[in-house]
Amino acid sequence: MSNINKQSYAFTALTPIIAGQTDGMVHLAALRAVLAGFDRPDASPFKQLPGTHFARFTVLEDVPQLGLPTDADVLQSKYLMLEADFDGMRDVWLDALRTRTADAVTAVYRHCLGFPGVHDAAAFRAYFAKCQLETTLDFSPFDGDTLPAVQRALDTQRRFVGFVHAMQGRSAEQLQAEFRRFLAEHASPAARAGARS
Amino acid sequence: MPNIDGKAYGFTAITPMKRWKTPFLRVFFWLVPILAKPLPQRLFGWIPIVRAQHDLTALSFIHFARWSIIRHDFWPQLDAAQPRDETRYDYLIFCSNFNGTWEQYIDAFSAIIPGGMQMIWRWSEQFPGSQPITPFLSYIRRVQVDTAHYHSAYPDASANDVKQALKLQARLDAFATTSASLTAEQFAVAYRAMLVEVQDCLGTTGLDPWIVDWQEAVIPDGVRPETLGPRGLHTPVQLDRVPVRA
Repeated sequence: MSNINKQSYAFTALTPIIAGQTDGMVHLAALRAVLAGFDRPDASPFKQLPGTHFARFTVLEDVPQLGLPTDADVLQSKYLMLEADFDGMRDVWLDALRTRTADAVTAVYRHCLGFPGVHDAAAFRAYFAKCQLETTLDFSPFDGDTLPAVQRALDTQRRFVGFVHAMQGRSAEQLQAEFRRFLAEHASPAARAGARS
Repeated sequence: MPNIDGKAYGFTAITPMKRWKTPFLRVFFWLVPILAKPLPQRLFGWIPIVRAQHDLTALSFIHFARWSIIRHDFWPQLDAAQPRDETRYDYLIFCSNFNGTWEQYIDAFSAIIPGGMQMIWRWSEQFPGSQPITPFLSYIRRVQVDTAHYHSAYPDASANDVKQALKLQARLDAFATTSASLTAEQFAVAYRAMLVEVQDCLGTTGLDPWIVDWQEAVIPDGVRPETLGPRGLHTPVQLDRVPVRA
């Protein structure tokens, strides 16, 4: 299945948006307002989901029109497209989406047809499974590295650059002692165990 | 700017394809991961389309990318009152997460893997070819769909930053084990040799200055330069002073 590539899962779901109005505002406009609110600092619900490398919401009001000689295709409904690249399996991620971002998910999907709410795990999974679009080809340049591994490596890099700066001109004894201290904080657990043995 | 989160750009393009062409594209997509493996590359790397699979990995600014096909009858109908969508065409969706500007991205695709791009989009209606670049860019502009909300878990790091950080972490982990029993003098020599090996991994991450400036103006409490660490690249080691061997 192309949804799965090494450790990562490429998820896409297309859910139809309700055509009518809510509180005097068409659902599409209300949905766009909710999504725009996620661009405020730390407001993105995807930050709450473990292992989520990238994610996006796209509103599909219609398919692109190329003009003649291509025939016009006009969608009867508008769709919300959710795409995410995350570590692990789909249902675990969907459970996290349902439980950790319940308010945000409800705020978004109450504008979509058939949304079962966040209280029934099985119904929630079934909803997204029914709307899921299979990935035909997925590409990732990383070699099976999970999000925690990537974030730890970036943190190590940031600190190690500072360490190298600070250690220039130090004696061999100081360098060794300081490096061991650095390692105790930033090496992977397996490497720390190897260094002690 | 919803298509952008830090250094990452979320790109989405949707193109119509005649239904009868979809099976051919599926076969091609099925072949891509097979042809990208080392043995097929060694045996058949002289064939442009096989070579293109290898070249895709050379586009080092891509984090994740994917292609999906929306069949004409896929569009979910979740309510009896909802009119059923059945389109004349199947649609190819291309979603990518990369760093850099949009034009750089398409430009690089056109320059590095024109054959691969040709094979992927040639089935789409009115595709002008991946070279020359001007009609290709014009076509992509017509089929791009903007993102409403976009999230990157590491907005201050480019794809190359991530690759280099992972390489550095692996090297440090290995060095932790191999240097554990060295004397201080031996350690200093080994440490400097290790630094030379990882010198290409010692850049610093952080948002591009223009992104910081933009976010400061639009979101006053959003991004503070002082929280981003030093900007630009450092040269932390004076290489001419580092002995490679004892």
